[in-house]
Amino acid sequence: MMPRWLLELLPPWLCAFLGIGLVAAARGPLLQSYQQPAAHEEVSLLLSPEYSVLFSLGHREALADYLFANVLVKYGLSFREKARFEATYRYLDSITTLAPTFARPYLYVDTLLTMRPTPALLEDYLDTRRLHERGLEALPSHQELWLVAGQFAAYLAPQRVPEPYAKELRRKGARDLARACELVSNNANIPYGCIAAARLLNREGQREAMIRMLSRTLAVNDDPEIRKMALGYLEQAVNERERDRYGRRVQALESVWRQQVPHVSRVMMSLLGPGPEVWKCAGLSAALTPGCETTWRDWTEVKAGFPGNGR
Amino acid sequence: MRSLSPVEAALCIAIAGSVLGVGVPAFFRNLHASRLVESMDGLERIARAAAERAATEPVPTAYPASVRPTPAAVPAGVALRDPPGSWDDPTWVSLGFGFSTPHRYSFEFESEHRGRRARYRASARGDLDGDGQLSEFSVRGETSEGRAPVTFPLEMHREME
Repeated sequence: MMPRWLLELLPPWLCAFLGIGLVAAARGPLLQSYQQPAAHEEVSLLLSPEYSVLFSLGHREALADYLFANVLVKYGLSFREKARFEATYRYLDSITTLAPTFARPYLYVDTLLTMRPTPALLEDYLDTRRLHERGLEALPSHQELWLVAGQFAAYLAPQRVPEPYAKELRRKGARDLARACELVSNNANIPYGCIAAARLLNREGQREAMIRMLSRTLAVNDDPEIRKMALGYLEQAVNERERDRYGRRVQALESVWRQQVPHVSRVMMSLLGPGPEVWKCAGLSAALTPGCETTWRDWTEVKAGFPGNGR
Repeated sequence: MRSLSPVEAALCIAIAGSVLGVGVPAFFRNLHASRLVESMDGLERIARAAAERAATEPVPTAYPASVRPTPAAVPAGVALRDPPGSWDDPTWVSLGFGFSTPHRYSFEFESEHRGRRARYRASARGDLDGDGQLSEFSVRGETSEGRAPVTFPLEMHREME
């Protein structure tokens, strides 16, 4: 005979165990059906990029705007349906053909193509790179785009694609990051991009490209942190003779800057060129004498005696 | 101009009501769906910057320090402009991340460093319809000495609200 207190406890415990068992048994199949895509196939009536241009009747930007809004909606709905939005690339291809200088699609392309409810495929990474390249061609001075394309190609994509593609992407990523580093920006993440670009180029054996990138960075950048980093890398990369030559060149350039136009940035100074002393350089014969150079190329070759530095 | 007969008026109201009944919810559903890209793009931006930083810094400082959700409260159904200085935390600054326009998601960055390994988790929480139920997405990444930083695929903890 069971004690009374045990008999009283038995039903709730039985119910609890039964409940736990039921939940455990039902959870697996329910989760599986919940995670399955709600929609399997999608029919897109989007025209090809060439026909979209024709169909826009000249209102290319307006149609690109409309299609981009459509992509954002369909991208969001694809998460609700847990289905892959197959036509994303076709939409983005049409949008960037319609409006090649519309920057937002290029900035969002890696998110739209690789951050999906289902795992991204190799072609998604390659399509992303293709569209980034199209954007860089259309917007060559868009610093953020160079940075986005470079970071994606150098760090995110290579770990998800086979090695031959990964190597190529890393190489292109390093080049893009180097370009982003050369362009002036207030993005605090840029110094890391510069270091990363220098390291990647060095690792790829592109020493000349690294030196060129660091030299350009020093020429246009006023940020002390970036300058310190670039000089440090440059000192490591070049031999003693080159280092000495480069040091003299930087010093000479700095002295011209401080003497003539200390109130403008390096970029502005590089646009202005060296300021010849007008009263000494008047007349045809005087114009060729040292100190009368009007371009930095002439200045480096004639005045400072650094042959080949005008490159 | 003659006025509508009761039957005609009823027909018009029925058609207009049906169109509105189908169109209005679909419109709001699409509107909410289009806003999802803010969280995804935010996480992608963080992941890119974190991977880049991890590739250039030694493991102990591979990822910036953890930072509390910004903004602290998830905007409930509206886009909010952050007060000045919201994104001035050194972590957000070093990741080059922040918003200068009104937005709908709250972002958090957590990092830890143990021995020769460092990892991070970035998450985005949103309440697009303002019902108090939050959607949540996250990305994680890690790095260890001598290895390239890894970023794991997107994690969805609750994609629908």
